[in-house]
Amino acid sequence: MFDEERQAAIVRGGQIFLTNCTACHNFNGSGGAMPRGGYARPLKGVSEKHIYAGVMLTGPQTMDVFSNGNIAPEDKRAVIAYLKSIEEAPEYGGFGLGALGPVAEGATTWVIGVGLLVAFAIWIAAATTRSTKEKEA
Amino acid sequence: MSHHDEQLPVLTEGDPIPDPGLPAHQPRPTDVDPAAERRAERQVATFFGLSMVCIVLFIVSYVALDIGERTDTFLGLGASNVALGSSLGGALLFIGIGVIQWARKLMADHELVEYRHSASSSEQDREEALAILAGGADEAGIGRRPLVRNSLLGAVGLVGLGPLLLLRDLGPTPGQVADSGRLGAGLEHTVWSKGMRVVKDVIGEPILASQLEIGDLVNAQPEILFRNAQGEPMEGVELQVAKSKASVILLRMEPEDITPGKGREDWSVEGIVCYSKICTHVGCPISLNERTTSHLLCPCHQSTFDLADSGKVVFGPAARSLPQLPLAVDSEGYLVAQSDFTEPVGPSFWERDSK
Repeated sequence: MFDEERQAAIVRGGQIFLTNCTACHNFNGSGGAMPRGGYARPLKGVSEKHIYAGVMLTGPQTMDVFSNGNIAPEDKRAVIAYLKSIEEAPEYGGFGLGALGPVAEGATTWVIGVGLLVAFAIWIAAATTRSTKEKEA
Repeated sequence: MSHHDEQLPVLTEGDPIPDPGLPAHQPRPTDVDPAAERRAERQVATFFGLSMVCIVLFIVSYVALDIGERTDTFLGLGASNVALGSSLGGALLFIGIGVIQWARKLMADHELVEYRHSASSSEQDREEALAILAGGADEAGIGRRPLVRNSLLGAVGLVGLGPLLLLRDLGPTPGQVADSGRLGAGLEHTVWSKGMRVVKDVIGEPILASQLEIGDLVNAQPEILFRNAQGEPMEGVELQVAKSKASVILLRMEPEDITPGKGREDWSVEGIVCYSKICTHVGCPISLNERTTSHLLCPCHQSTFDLADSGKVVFGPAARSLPQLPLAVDSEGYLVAQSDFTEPVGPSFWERDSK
């Protein structure tokens, strides 16, 4: 595909992805939790062929089917182009934390952020070493 | 006298446990050793100095480092991000550490006792204040002139009516919107109507019933969002309002797996059912469906609806079934609506009945 066509496909694929896939697979294709302990797999690092045939055409496990009458082959290719583009996109903000959203970010804040605060609080409240020496007059 | 009483110790007069008082004050090394004191002073000044160095580094890295496309210069992170973050963070952190060190090592640390006293004013002050109040009431004649007092109370009470009346301007009531005559106006109706095609969301293509497979899930919209009678798409506020109420999902399953609701026997087409995509709890859009159970889960509060059984609630806080859209096929085999939804979609509102 030419560059301009590819960009148009990525934009279109992104809209189709956000409408049909993000409910389970996360806005960044990182996967997510399903009822009763199940989970939707991450889509990053999955080959184009597997996403096309294995995922959308058959709907593995409890996943719904997205047949060609539902999302046309050309639109499926656009979704895959979008997925590949977010795979290549650099993480400008620093640590992506798996792009899992508030759960990963919240856990990190609690463990590292609050942990550091607790460490400082312990240091502030720790008993100062006292001296047995008397003050010189 | 029982046996127990004889074993009790004899209580002394006054406090059974004498007041231990404060422990003897123990000085810190910095209190007694001038060398330690000077060392602590230098430490605190060093922390404040480090903070200044960090701010200089912050300014230097802001000017010198380019944000650019390279985002993996340092530990997989962009150089500019790392430098700006750590220098500004360090500047704040070193001020904090310096202040704490100052307080711990150098500020006075002798123990203080502050006794609690009664918080009330003296008897004399209270009597004086009451006398002033009583005098004021007497001079104003509140007790003697009931006509003035009652008309004042009436005036102050009625002032509140003015702002209350202005609340009416906060927006059109559901009733006013419903009477505006626009298609799908109000909370009771959507833009769905008899014979309107069901089209794929984003893509806008109509859906051939014969081309959907068992297990297919389609996120869909009414055709009027993409094309009205003149072939023009809906735009702006009108589009957002229409879409927020009319969004649907289609699911095709084995026809024998469906338990049709009473009077809904002909609402599905060859096992294809259509439900509102708006959760009846607080209105999140839902399309998180499990093909094997046909359970549709709302990610906001875990309400779960059974799409094979009239969208009934099987779990979670939602109080009502998902509204079902009656489906049919037109002469070309495309899926169309038989009518609008037969009940309001989405969460409860004041005027809605509880069915």
